[in-house]
Amino acid sequence: MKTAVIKMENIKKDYNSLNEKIEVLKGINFSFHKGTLYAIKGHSGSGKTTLIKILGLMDSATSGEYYLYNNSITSLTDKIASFYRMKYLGFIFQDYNLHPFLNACENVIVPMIINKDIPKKERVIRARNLLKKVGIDDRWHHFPKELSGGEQQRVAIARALANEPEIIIADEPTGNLDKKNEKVIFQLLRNMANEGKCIIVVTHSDEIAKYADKFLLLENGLLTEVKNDK
Amino acid sequence: MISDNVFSIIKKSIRNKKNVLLIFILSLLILLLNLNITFIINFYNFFDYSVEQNIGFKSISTYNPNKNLSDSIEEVKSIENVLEVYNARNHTFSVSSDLNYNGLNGRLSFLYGTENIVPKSIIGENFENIRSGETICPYLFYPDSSVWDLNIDESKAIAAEDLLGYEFNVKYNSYTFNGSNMIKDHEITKQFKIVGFYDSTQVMNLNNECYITAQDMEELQYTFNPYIQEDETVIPTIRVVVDKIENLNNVLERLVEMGYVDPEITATFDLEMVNKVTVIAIAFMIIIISSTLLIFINYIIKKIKSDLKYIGILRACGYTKSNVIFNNIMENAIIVFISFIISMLLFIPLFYIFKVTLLKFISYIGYKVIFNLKYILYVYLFLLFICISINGLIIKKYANYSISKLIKEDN
Ligand SMILES: Nc1ncnc2c1ncn2[C@@H]1O[C@H](COP(=O)(O)OP(=O)(O)OP(=O)(O)O)[C@@H](O)[C@H]1O
Ligand SMILES: [Mg+2]
Repeated sequence: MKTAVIKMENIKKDYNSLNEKIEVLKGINFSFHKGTLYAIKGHSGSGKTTLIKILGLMDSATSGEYYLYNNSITSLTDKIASFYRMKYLGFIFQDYNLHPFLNACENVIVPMIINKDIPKKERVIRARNLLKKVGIDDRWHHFPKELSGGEQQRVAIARALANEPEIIIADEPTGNLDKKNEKVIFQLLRNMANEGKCIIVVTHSDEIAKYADKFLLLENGLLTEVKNDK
Repeated sequence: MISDNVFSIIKKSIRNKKNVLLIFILSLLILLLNLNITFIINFYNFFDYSVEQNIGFKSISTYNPNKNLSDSIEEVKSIENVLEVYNARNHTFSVSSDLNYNGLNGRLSFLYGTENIVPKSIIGENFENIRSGETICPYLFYPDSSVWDLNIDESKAIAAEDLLGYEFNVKYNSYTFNGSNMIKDHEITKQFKIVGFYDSTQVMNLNNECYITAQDMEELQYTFNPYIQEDETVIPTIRVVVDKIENLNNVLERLVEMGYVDPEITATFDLEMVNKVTVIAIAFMIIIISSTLLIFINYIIKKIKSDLKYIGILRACGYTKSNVIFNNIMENAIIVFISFIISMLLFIPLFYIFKVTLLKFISYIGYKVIFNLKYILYVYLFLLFICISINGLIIKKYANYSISKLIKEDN
């Protein structure tokens, strides 16, 4: 039995815009496990990004219980939330958002700088290994503007892996990429799940069907597991 | 950890061409500021130095219509803090000499000397030991009329070692009064022997000013114009030398009490000019500082706004708000610091060129152009402090944005 890394119990999220209250998440109950690739689907505006933000400790739920490695996370200080994000969570966004004046290797090192567990001397070696993992180590000294979108996203994935988090959260990571690059990215996520990480991907692409273990649908503010062929 | 972070920040800053432009502009502004501060310091020091060194700023000229010259001198000498009193006409006497070596024209001035007002010699006899016909000249002796323009070619100056004990002749004309005009009567020649050298820079004298005895000065003045000397209707003016500038006013008051008329300090600065220059210099400084701040603030706001998504990524990676604030401030403080270093690197050679060429002449009257790093550092640290504080206030606002807001931010 695989361990639950994240457990959500009756998570609700409301937004108050003007006088109106929008209930985006209406009671999410779900546990995410290691070594599994989760694909989350749902139509636009269904609350996928909202859910991801709560999962990634970037936003807090209106109510409900959230457990990270069995620790209840309710109100966190910025310092502790930041620490958890650094240690346990890696993020991949649709925009790669690499620093334009840092080369591929230096971009991967950025999250390591605040991690006291990684000795200075090891940073470059680690970064190069991660770049090797995503298949672009030969481009380590190139700056973002010298890389294609697919290559930049691979650097961003290496950056998400910098502090070796067990949970990777990706919000439409292939939204800006073509089919060929999409396959490369999904394969990388698949490999990471095979290595024992918990991968949560929000995507509109049907291509994910070939790579994911579990398929989740966010609909009417609720998250349900669905069959592959849905 | 911090050093590595700083290293990465420097790398980022230098690779960014916009930063390079900002550094260039800030360097020039700080360079102007350095020049401005150096100017103000030297402007003020020059006055302080002059006032402290030169006897003219401590002397009063006045007269008493009811007393004859020797009574006046006797009486005024007894006032407290008065160093010396003499007939104002005896203060200086200009002559041409046969010291026309090295292409110099031989023009020099004699000054009235007494042991109370002549500085100690650095070579040869001190003033108290000299007799009639002897003189004490400046160490860097330059008998030429160009000294009036403070224009000296040091290679032409006469070496004191060669001149000690040297005798030279001076020439001047004697005049008489024909009832309406002064007319030239005959030329007089007199011999002087150089027995000592003083440091003219110590008292801010010109390099052709030699001290002679009171007796010789009296003789020169008398033979120059016997008529004026004997004229009973002329009320002689006395020159009163006070020991310290602080005591000037006390002595002035005493003189007035004693019936002396129109007391005037013989050398003062044009206060209006000093004030004007000060106001302009300070206005200039304020303009430089405020444009530096405006450019800096404008730039960092733009930069932070365009960096919001990246800040969001940093926050997602685990950077705390304070990490973000620290990094941003470091990033900009490094820019200000690099600009300062560049401005200093430009300033130092510029300062020396300025000192060596433009202001070289000032060294002949003893004033040394000073470069005071302390004040430049104070102003720079003040500027840095303001920059960091404003930067802190701005970045704090954005660092408090939620990560989702930062990442979503479109620009
Ligand atoms: N900060 C906010 N304030 C108010 N309403 C918000 C806010 N963020 C999101 N919403 C609303 O919440 C709902 C869910 O938004 P969310 O971004 O999670 O959707 P999504 O499923 O990610 O959509 P998409 O597929 O288009 O990215 C939307 O109706 C959106 O308008
Ligand atoms: Mg979304």
